[in-house]
Amino acid sequence: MIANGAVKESNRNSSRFRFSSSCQRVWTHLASFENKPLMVEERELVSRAQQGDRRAFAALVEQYWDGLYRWLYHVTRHRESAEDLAQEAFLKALAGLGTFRAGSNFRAWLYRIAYNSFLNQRRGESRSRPFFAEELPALDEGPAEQVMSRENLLLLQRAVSKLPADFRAAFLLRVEEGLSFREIGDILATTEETARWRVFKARQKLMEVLAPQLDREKL
Amino acid sequence: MKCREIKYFLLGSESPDQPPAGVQAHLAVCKDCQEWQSRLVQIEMNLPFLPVPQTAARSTLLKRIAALPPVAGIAEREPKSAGARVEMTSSVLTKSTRVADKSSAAEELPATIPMAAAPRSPSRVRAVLATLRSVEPGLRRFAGGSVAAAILLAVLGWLVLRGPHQPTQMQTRARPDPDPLLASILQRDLRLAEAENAKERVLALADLAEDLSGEVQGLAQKAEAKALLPALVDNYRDVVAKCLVEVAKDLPEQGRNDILNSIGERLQIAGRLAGELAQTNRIPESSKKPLEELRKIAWHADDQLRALRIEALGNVPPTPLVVREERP
Repeated sequence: MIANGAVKESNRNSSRFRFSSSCQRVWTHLASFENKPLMVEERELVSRAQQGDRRAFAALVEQYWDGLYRWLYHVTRHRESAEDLAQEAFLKALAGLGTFRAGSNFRAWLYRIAYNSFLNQRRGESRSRPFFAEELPALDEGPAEQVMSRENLLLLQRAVSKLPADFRAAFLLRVEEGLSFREIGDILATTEETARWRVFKARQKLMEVLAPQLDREKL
Repeated sequence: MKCREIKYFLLGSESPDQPPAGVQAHLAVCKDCQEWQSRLVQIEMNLPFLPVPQTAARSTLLKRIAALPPVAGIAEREPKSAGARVEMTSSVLTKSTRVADKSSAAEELPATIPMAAAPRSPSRVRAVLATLRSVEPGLRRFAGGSVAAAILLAVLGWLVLRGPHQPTQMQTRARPDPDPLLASILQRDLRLAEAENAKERVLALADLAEDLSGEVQGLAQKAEAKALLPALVDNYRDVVAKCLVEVAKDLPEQGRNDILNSIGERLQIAGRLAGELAQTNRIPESSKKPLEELRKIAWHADDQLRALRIEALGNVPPTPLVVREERP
């Protein structure tokens, strides 16, 4: 059923034609299940921003600021650095909109810009920043059965902050942003497998630190 | 040993809360792994509750952007406007109190990144749609598209035979999309079409094989899937034996052994899970043979990949990263 590599050119063309039409059918079928097409909205905004529409770019800032700032804060462990890097990323993106290829992943591109800036900043720093634990949020912000105790959240915060920055960056992109390993690899300028490995190690480390505590609490 | 492999799989999976049917089958009978998985999921679910200090930087940025003069037709006059854009951005940056590295604002930008998934709360269907839209040129560019095309056609054919997707009893979590397997296979297939080298191809094929084996193990628990399982196992054989192993031979020396070992490990786990499921009384008698067949295919492919590793190391048996149990 599967053609091997030595397929004749005519067969290739035939397969390709059928492949495209099959994809088209599947696409049409799936389109009926599609929710509000967020991606289309983003493309529209990017396109308008490329035409010079500031409001469209502002809408992109509104859309991605929270996630980007949050990610940068966890990566840098420093509020001002995260603010600077987020601002810088958006401004660089604005300046480089002309080079952004339509249909590409704007969010991944934006995060990549921010990560590059972070790496530049880290190279320039002679000492690491101390980590100051922030005040924890109220515990009633989520379903009660899923939220950890204040003590465990603090433990989680410390454990995440102690992860190597590369692992932390990959892990947070996966868990908080829901990006695929491939996209994470693109953002962190590494391979999909390395991105998977970093997430693997981050999870492993967090489990080592937190699982015993969670087990004790359960008992 | 088995539990350790399950845990390793979950640690390296994109969604530990939604493991494939084969892993779910193990979790359903292993309380220890079930607890372990719930801890892992609990940790990840609590990350959004970690505090982040509030900031006014967004408002500041928005004000600055709003204050910028409108730029008409940037896209149309792109070659000439590049310098203008840098100049404009530099003026914005000068107003910022802390933003650094002003001069290189537009010079360090990375290449754009192909669309792969929808932002936030990724719906697999939406991701497929996005991928389909964005990689059409890539598909046309792919000269050797016959492998990808054949896989997709084969699986689509099987999907038509199979009819609407019905979740199995083992799949305890709700699956929101109309057919996650179809979405997943399309994604794998498009990755194949986009793949530019043997490594990317072989990894996409390994993922596709994993999806298929998971589906076989899920359907094996349903008596009405009797007629479908052999066809699905045939697809698995095609993907693993005719494609994956063949493409693996083209892997470059650099990193070859790591890739082969990692894929071999996944094949062995798939085989073992299928074999174990075949031994239980929870599945209809008619499902046992296809499961055994899948186990043989997976383990045979694993052996072939190990042979490739040995070949690459000059006939010196390699030390596997994962200690593997003796197989019958």
